[in-house]
Amino acid sequence: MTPGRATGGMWYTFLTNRVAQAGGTIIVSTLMAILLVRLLSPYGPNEKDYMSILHMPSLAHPFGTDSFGQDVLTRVVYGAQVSLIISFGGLILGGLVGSVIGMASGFWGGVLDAITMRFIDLLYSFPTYVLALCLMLLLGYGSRSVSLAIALVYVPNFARLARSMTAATRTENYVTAARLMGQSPTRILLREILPNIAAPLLVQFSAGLGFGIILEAGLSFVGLGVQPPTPSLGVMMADGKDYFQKAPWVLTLTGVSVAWIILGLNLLGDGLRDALDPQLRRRLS
Amino acid sequence: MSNQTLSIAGSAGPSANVLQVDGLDLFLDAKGRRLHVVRSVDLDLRASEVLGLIGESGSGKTLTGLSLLRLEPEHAEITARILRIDGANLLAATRAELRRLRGRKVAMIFQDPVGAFNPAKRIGWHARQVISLRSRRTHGRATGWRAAALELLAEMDIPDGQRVLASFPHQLSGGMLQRVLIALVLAGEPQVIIADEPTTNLDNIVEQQILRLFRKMKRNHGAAFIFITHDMTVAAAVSDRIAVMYAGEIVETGPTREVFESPRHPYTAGLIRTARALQAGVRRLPEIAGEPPGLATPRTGCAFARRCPERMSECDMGPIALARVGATGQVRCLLYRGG
Amino acid sequence: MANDLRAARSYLVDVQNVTIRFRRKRTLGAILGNVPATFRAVAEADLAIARQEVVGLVGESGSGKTTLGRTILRLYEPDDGSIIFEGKDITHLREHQLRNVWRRMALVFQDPLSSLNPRHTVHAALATPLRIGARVNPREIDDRVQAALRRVGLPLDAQARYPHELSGGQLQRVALARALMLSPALVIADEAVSKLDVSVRSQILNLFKDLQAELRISFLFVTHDLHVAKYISDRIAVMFFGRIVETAPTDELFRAPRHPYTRALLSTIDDRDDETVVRRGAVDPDAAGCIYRSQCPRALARCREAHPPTALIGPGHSLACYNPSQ
Repeated sequence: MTPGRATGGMWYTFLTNRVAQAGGTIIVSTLMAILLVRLLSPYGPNEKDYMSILHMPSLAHPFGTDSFGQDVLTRVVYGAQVSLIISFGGLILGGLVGSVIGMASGFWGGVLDAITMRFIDLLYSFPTYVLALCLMLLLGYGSRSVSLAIALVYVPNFARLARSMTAATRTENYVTAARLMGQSPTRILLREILPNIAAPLLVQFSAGLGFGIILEAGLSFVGLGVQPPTPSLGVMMADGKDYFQKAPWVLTLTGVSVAWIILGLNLLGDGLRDALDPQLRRRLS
Repeated sequence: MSNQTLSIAGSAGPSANVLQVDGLDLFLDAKGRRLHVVRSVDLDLRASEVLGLIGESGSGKTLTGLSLLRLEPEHAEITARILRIDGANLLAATRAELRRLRGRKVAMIFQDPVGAFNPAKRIGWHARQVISLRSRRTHGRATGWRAAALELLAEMDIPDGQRVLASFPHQLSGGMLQRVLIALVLAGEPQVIIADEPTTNLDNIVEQQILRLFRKMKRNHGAAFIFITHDMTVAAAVSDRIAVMYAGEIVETGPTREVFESPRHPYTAGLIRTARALQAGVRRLPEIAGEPPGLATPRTGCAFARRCPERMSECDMGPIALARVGATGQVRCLLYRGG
Repeated sequence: MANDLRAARSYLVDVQNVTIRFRRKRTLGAILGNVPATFRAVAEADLAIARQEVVGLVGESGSGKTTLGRTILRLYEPDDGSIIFEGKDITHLREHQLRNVWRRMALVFQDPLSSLNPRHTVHAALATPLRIGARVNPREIDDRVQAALRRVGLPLDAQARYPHELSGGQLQRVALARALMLSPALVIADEAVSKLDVSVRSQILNLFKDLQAELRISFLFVTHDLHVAKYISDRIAVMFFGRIVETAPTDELFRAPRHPYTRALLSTIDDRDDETVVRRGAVDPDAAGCIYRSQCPRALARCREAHPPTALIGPGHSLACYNPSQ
C-alpha cells in the first residue's frame, strides 16, 4: 500500500470514467492535431496564395481556403492554440484571485465577507459579455486584454464557489480538530480546507476553459480581441461571416472546431468532477 | 440451505403465521460488484407476536425490514422462496397491489419520524388521511375522524390531542412525533408493523415511555411486530422472540428469555455478556475481539469465526446451517451440531 | 458560593458559574412572536475536574453537555463566569493565546470519520500535532507516530491508510491516538463511543480506561448513556436544559440520587419501571424558577421563584434542589 493511495484511487476513477475518457480523447486528439499540422502542414498560418482564393475543401486544403487563399485548417490549428493560451491565462489569473478572495471571505466571514461579496455580486450582476466589453474598452485591444477580461469575468465565479465551499468546510469536525492542534488559519486553509474544495474549483476551471474560448472568439469576432493577421478562432469566424454565402465552409468548419474543443473540455470537466467527488466515490465503494 | 427445518416448531402450522419469510436473499449492486447483503433469512411471525431483530450496522437488519414491505432500494435485488404477509404474496404483487398492502397489512415505523410527515401539513391532516381511508374501508364512508384521532392519541399517552392535531410536525418534539406516528400507523390496523430503531434517537426517559407504549399496544391491538434494534436491552424489553443477525445472516433465534438466559451463539453470548457487565458495573468490560466484516469481505464459512473465541478449524470449511436448539430455538454454529 | 464547593485548589479545570448564550435562528415566527433573540445553552454551570480524575457529564440531547465540553476547550467564549485551566484564567483568551492551552487539552469527537481530514493519511493526521504543537525533529516523527499506533492497538500499516479505508473502531483508535499525541492533561470525549457498533464499543471503552490509567490524564466523558458514564467515571455531573442539577461520586449517585431528575434518569436503566416520571409539559429554559419545575413530582411553591442554588451536601456531592429526595 503506497501513501498515495487515495490520489491513486482518484486517478483510477478519473481514467476509467467513460465521460472523462471521451473528453480526454477529444482533447488529446486535438492537441495532437495541432502538433501534427504544425509539423506537417505545407502552409504557414499567414501564407497567402491569391491563386487559390475561397477554394472548397479538398485533399490539398481539407478545410478549404479563405479570402486570402490561406489554408483554413492550418489557421484553425494555429488559432485554436492562440485561443487556448489566452483562455488558459485568463482562467489561471481569475481562478487564483477568485479562489483567494472566496476562501478568505468564507473562512473569516464577518465584515470582510460582507463587503467583498457585495462587490463580487456587483461584478456578477453584469452580463458576462458586457463586463468583458467594458474592460476591453478600458484596456484597449489585444490578446493580453482578452486574457484579463476572461479573468475578470471568472473572479466572481471562483470567489462565490470557493466561499461557499470554504464556509461549509470550516465547520467540519476535522477543521475544529486542526484548530485545536494549534494550526494557524493560513495553514488550515491550505492544508485542511483546500484539498477538500479543490475538486469543484478544478471542475470550474475546466468548464471555464471552454467558455473562455467562446468569450475570446466573441470579442475577436467584433474586432476587439486578437488582431488580424494573427489567427484566432474568433478572428477567423469574423472573417468567415463576411463571405458566408460564397464560402460557407470557413465559418462553419471553424465553428465546428470551436464546438469540438468545448465539448472535449466539458466532458473532461464532468469526468474530473465524478473522480474528485469524495461523496460520490464513497457511495460507490 | 436450511429451509426445511425452519418453520418454527410449536407454531400451529403456516396458516397461523401472519408473516412468512423463507430463504430471503438480498443483493446490492455496487460499482459492478454484487454484494450479498441479506443471506437466506427465514422469519415467521404469529398474530400479536413481537420479534426483536437484533444486529449492528451492516448486519442487514434494516434491509430485511424494508424487504418485508418491498421497499428495498432500487439497486437491490430480492429473491425468496416465500415472502407472504397474511396470505398475500409480496414477490408476485404488482406495484398497485403493494401500495394497497402497505399501511393496511404491513406498515413501518422509522428511526426518524420527521420523514414520515409532510412538513407543510398539520398533524390533523395526516390523521384524517389515515382514518378516513380506514372508515371508508370498513363503513363505506368517512365518519368523524377527529374523535377517532383523539382517541388514538389518548391511547398513546398524548393528553392534549387537540393541540397536537393543530400542530405542524416541526412544532412537536421527536418523542411526541414518534408517538403520533405510532398512533397513525395503528389507525391503519395493519397485521404486521415493522419498527426500525424507533427509539434510538430519543432520550432515555422518552425511550422508556415509548417502549412502554409498545408493550401496551401488544396487549390492546392484534398487530404483530418486528422490532429492529441494535440494542440488546431494548429488544429484551419488548420482544417475545429474538432473532440475532450478523453479517447478513440470522445466527440465533429463540424465545427472548431463553436467548437472554442461555445464549448459544458466541456472538450473542458476547453481546449479552457485555450488556450485563455494563449494567452490573464491573471493573473491566468483556470484549468481543475484532470488528464486523465489511459487506464485500469474502467468506467461506462462519462470518463470525474470525472474532470467535470458540473457533474450530471446521468453522471456515463451508456454510453452516441453522441447527435446532431447545424447544423452539435455532442457532447457526458448529458447537450445536445435532441439537 | 462557588468557593465552598471546592475543597482543594488543585483542580486541573475549574468551571465557575459559566453561562453561554446562543443566537436563535431568526425565523419569521420568532420575530413576530417576540421570542428572545438568544437562549441560554448553558446556565451558571460549576464543574471542577481534578488531576487524573474521570468525570462523566450526563444529559439528554439539548441539555448543553456538548456545549459545556466545548466551552472548556474555549471553542466557545462564555458570556459569564470563568474557566480556570491549570491555574490560569482562560475565559477570554484570544485564539493565538489559546494555542498554548490547546497543547494541554484534546477533544475526541462522536463521529471519528468526520474528525479526520479525508485527504490526509493516518500518518499525516498523527504527525500534524507533533509538527505544529511540539516542533518535533522530523526524524523522530515516524517513531512517535508508530509508538502512538501501537499504544492504541493499531497495526503499523494503518499509517498509510486514509480514513475512509478504516472501520469505525479503528477510526476512533486513530482519533484517540491523535488526541494523546502531545500528552495532554485533559481529554474531552464527546459521545466518543455512541456511534460505534455494539460489539466494538467495549473494546474502545476499555482502551479509554487503560490509557487514562496509564497516562494519568483527566477525562471529561460527555455521554447520554448512563451505563457508559458509570463504567468510566469517578464522578458524574447530571445536566438538564443547560443546568448542572447534581454532581456526585459515581457510586453515590447511583446508590442515592437526590435530584428528582437524576432519579428519573436512573429509573430508566433499572427495572423499577413504575417509578419513571412522566413528563408533564414543555420546559422553558428562560422562565424564572427551577429548570425542572414543570417536570417535577416534588415541586414546591418556591421552585417557581428562582432556580435553586448549587450546594455542597457531601464530599464531592453537590445539588441544586429545594426539595431533594432523601
